[in-house]
Amino acid sequence: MTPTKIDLVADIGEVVVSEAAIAAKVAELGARIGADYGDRRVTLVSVLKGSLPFMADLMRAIPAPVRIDLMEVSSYGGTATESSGLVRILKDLSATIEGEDVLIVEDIIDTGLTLNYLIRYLRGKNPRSLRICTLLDKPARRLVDIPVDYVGFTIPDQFVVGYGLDYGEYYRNLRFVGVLRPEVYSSVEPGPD
Amino acid sequence: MTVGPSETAGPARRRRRNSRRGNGGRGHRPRVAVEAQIDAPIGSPDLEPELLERAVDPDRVPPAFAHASEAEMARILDFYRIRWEYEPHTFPILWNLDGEVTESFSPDFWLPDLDLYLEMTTLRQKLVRKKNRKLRRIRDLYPDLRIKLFYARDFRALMLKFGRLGLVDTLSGSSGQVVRDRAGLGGAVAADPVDRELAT
Repeated sequence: MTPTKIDLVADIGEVVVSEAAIAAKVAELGARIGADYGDRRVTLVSVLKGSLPFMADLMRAIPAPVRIDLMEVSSYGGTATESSGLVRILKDLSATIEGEDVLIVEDIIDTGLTLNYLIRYLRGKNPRSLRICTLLDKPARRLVDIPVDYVGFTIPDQFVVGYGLDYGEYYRNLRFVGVLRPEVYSSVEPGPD
Repeated sequence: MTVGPSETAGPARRRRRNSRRGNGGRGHRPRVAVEAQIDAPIGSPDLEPELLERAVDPDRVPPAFAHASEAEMARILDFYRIRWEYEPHTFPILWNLDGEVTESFSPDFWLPDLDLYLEMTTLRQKLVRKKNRKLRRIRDLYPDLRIKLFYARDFRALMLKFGRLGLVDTLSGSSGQVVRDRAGLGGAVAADPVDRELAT
């Protein structure tokens, strides 16, 4: 799916979380995480690609020693034509997390399907602790109940883009989170990303 | 009054249940809790990879889905390695004066690791109302049962998330009642799918 014509401003029907609100929330979350972990070193694991802007801002808001690592997990749509498709780790951690305090950094949690898989996978690597931080939480869509430790914003059940979130790989570079106008995606022909 | 999955089904019904089993079919398993406390050790490193690998049985026979949206949901659950069973449990919701079950409800999916039932309701609104009535009844009778309802709008949102919005019209509503012979959908179509959708 790729929008045929992209207008970063006109395609957004409503701003759900403004740039200023994101900045304030990131600072708040960073302070909380820093206070919770204290002197303990935490490894932030970002799930590509959507959480990249959040990760970049959050890591600088945590007043404590942090390591960062990146992972990428395949999504259902990407292999939709393969009947035997299974979720896969496309990019694994570059360093061991055994015995480490790990904080998964997510852009958004909706169904919880990807995160559920990721948690089970990371637990197998025997970290000392495993926590979850997400900028956006969309509980109306939840299929798998997952306790989330740090939530930036609980948002309504709308399709949002921006600040890392995409539609057809675009709109990630918006500085805010907004609702994509339905006519943008309703006229798009289906197909792999 | 019997409260719980019906145990009154005869041998034929039990055989049908078994034949419908999805990638699970291994009976109840304790739910895997996700630890979230900083000081808590996390899970068993030996268990989790095994659990991930066992989630989908490549040799399973796809059940006869009543609706294309159910087949799509099964594929999504398979993809994310979440075990499921198709209509494994039936819950009586109405009895006559002789104590015989006159109406029952079989949620479409049971996810044993999550202890969650999923009910797909992507048919038109008129038919949804009847199913909603059944769901209210089952929630009254079985308050501890965890059931997630998937309406047409939920299914549409899921398809949008996965970049498959263009397939929504063929996978939901009346047109979704016939499972096309499409690679990967699997399963035959039960006779009279509208009646079957309402009967479950």
